[in-house]
Amino acid sequence: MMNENISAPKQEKFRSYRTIRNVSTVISYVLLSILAFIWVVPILWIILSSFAVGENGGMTSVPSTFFPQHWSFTKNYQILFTTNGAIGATNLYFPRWFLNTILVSIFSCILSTIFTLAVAYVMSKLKFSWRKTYLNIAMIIGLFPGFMSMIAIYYILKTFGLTGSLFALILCYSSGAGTGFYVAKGFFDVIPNALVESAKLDGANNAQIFWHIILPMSKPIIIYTALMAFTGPWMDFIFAKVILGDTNVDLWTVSVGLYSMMFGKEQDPTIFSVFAAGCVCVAVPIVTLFFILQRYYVEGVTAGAVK
Amino acid sequence: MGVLKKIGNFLVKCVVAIGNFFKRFGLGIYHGLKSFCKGFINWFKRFGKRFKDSSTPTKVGHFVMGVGNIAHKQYTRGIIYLLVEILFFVFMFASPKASGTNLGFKAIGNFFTLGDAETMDVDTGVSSFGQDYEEVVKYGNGLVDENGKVINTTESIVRSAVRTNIVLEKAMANPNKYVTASDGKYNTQEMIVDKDFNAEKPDYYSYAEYEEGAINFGKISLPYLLWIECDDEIDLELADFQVKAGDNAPVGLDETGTSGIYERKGSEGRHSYLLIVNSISGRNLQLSIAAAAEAKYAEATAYSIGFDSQYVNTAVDNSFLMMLFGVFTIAIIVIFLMVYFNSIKSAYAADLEVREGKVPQNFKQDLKDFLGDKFHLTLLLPAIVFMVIFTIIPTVFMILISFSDFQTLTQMSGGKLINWVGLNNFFSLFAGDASNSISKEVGMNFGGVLLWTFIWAIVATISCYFGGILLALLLNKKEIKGKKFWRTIFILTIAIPQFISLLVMRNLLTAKGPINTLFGIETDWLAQSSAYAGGNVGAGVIWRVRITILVINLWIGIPYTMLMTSGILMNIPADLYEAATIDGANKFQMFRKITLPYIIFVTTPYLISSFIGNITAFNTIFLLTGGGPSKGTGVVAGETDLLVTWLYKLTIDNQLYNAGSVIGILTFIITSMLTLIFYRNSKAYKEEDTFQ
Repeated sequence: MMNENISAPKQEKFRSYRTIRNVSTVISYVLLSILAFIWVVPILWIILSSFAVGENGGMTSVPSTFFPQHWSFTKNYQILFTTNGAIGATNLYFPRWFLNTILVSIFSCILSTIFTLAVAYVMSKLKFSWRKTYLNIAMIIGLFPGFMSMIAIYYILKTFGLTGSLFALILCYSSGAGTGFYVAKGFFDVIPNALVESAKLDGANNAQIFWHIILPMSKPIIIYTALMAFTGPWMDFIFAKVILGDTNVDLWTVSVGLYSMMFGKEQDPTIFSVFAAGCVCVAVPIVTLFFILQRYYVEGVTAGAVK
Repeated sequence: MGVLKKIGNFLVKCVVAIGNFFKRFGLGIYHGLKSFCKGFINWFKRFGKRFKDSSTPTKVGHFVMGVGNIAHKQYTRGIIYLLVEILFFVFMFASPKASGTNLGFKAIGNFFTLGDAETMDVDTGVSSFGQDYEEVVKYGNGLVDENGKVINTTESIVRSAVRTNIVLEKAMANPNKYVTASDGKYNTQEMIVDKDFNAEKPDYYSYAEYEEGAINFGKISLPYLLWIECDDEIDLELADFQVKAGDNAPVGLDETGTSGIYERKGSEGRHSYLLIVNSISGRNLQLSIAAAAEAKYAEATAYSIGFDSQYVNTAVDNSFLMMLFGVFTIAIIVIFLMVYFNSIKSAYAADLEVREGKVPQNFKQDLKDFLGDKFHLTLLLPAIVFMVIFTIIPTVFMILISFSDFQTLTQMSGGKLINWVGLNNFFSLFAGDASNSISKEVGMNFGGVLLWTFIWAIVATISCYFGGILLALLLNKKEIKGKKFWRTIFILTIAIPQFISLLVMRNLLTAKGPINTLFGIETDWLAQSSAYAGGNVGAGVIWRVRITILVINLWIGIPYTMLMTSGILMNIPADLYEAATIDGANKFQMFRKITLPYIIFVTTPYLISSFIGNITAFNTIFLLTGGGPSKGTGVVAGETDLLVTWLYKLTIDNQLYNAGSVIGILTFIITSMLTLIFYRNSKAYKEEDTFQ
């Protein structure tokens, strides 16, 4: 008697609990799908636009519809890679720009990574009298808006005749290491000091510790720093535009080139489909890199934020 | 009610924090100064004591670097120090000029005065025209500038005259071809030589006819000199010189003063003509020079020079380079001093070691040190060098510019002087004086831009922050399968370069773009059409644009927060939840008491830094609206401008460099204040550790 009374209500509660859970799961999935769709829509659109052609099969300006009215899988890409001169009202030297950007990326990646890791390691593990001072100064300098120094750098470079050269661009990108080392420093902070000390007891000097012990176990942060340094020049267009100047069209990086195609003094809205193709061509390598090195990126982001 | 109270408390805390900050700031400066002075005096005393205590060679080493080291058999080190000292003094006293401006200790003097016309040195090119120097000087003397001041620019005139000659031989060889003309400064142009000179035509050619051949030398300063040389006599008379305004109405050479043509014998029997233009009544003038009909260069000698006479001044010193070199020299002095004190320290240390009977280190051991105790120097030095050259010096330079009146490109190329104006720029910010460009542009718009910057930073940060957390919570629910798949989709948006996604967004939202067509509306979400170009748009439009930007910013920013929060959520110790379940808490309570506080606690630093980062979020604003509809005609600031985008527009597009610097400094002050306030407060909060 007593058992029946007690067990029945429990069963009811159980059933309704499961229904609520099912409904909430469904709602969650729906919500997620909607959100994911919203996030993906612009990306989809730009890819679709890169396949859009005008009525006569040539390039087209910003389409009014989501799906292009006329399709061609290769027309825009063909225009992108074979025009090496003026097109419409603007200039298009995409292969050249691509190569420039790769060049700048590789060199500034190498330099940047070396500097950043060096500074981060020193700040994290080595002791010397002016360590705190340097940290404070780096923080203060980092608070200045980057554009103030950009204009001054341009004129300083101009005085030495270095403007309009990719070499100057590489130097500028690499110089950020002195103040942009915090994420790497956070990573090095986590390495136990006991490791360093025991190595010292064994008679290693600081250089050997750095080279033989710390670096081999720092693969994630090396890759993260290199990834950030490599992708930087692809994404930055302000610095590049200021340093390379408006007239050296064949020296531009892809970001400056793409930007000037659609905006700025020599814009030409009618070549939007080619612009879309260019965007895709730039996005694909970067996204691929990110995906391959996804793990390291996530590790870097979380390590840097959770100090 | 409780929520209101909490908000109230929070606001009170903010105000108190800001008040405390200023109090501590003031006290901090006072104490800082006091301890700085004390420290300096102490340092000085110690320096003196060390001097007295050191051995004789080291005492000498205070004046001739390196002697102390050499005496202790540290030969290489000593020689290095000695070389540094020699190089330094050579640099300071005997360095050559770069681009016509002094280096070395003269640069420091120049730095403070930023040059003036009288200090110009005579170029060595004078010697080839040596015998005519006096004649040229005679012509040059007595020129007056627009203020009626007599210019003593004899040397500068010689300099520019000497370097100016028009090569007519080229024209002789190739009539109707090119002639090189140089105004001696920065412009060398090739001019298309005249078409056939028709004797029946009037002796002057109007601007319209000569459009092709007109060369604009750009903004050059007066007095303007053109020195024309040719092998044979050219019959150039003043009457042949016609000065015409752009619309063909003759304006006339202002013949007060000494404007005109002066003929004189050039060197080696050549004929030289010196054209001096003292002042011009008008702008965009065209000067036509035609030879007399019987000269055999008739075909080749008609050319036209046009110039824009916006300036009347006589500066020839390059103030910009003076500023730059001044900073550079001061940096060299600082570095030298560092090496100097280092040399004394090392010599003294060697002294002590010798007294204790030890042998001081030799150079090989020094080198080894760089891999050991001094390894930090080895690693840091290259990065620091880069940082100093590319970050510190430019920043210092920009700070200096905000105390000057550097506003145009000509000041950079030496056509006009820059002057120190002290704090005037900052005062005129708030003076509301319409004639001062800084005051007009910066002062009247600063408040509006600042307010929007704050609104933007607060709303953008909070919306992305909570949006990201919510999304991460949704993703992290136990029931969702394929978490990695969903997360990958959102990471996709992070991977795409920001400028691409922003430009795509901008195109998506044009008035006739896909999104509008889909919904059948035609709102110009980002106010891109030229209808808004003139500024003074209505409040409805302004806020529509602003809200659109904020919404787009969610698309950009939420994945970042989501990524980070996901990682954190997975790290919350599960036993906390288990204990709570046992205690009978339901899901909602667990969220409120465990998850949320944990997340907020861990990501507060990120929240703060992202807030400060949003204050300087250049890409988003610039790529979406370029600063938005302008606030008014001719006003640079826009309705959606942040401080940094405004800075960019002022400096790059409008060349108001000092205005830009002023804004940059103010931005820095604001961000540093906020950083300090939040940093202090969050540290204190962390130590309380009440969330457990």
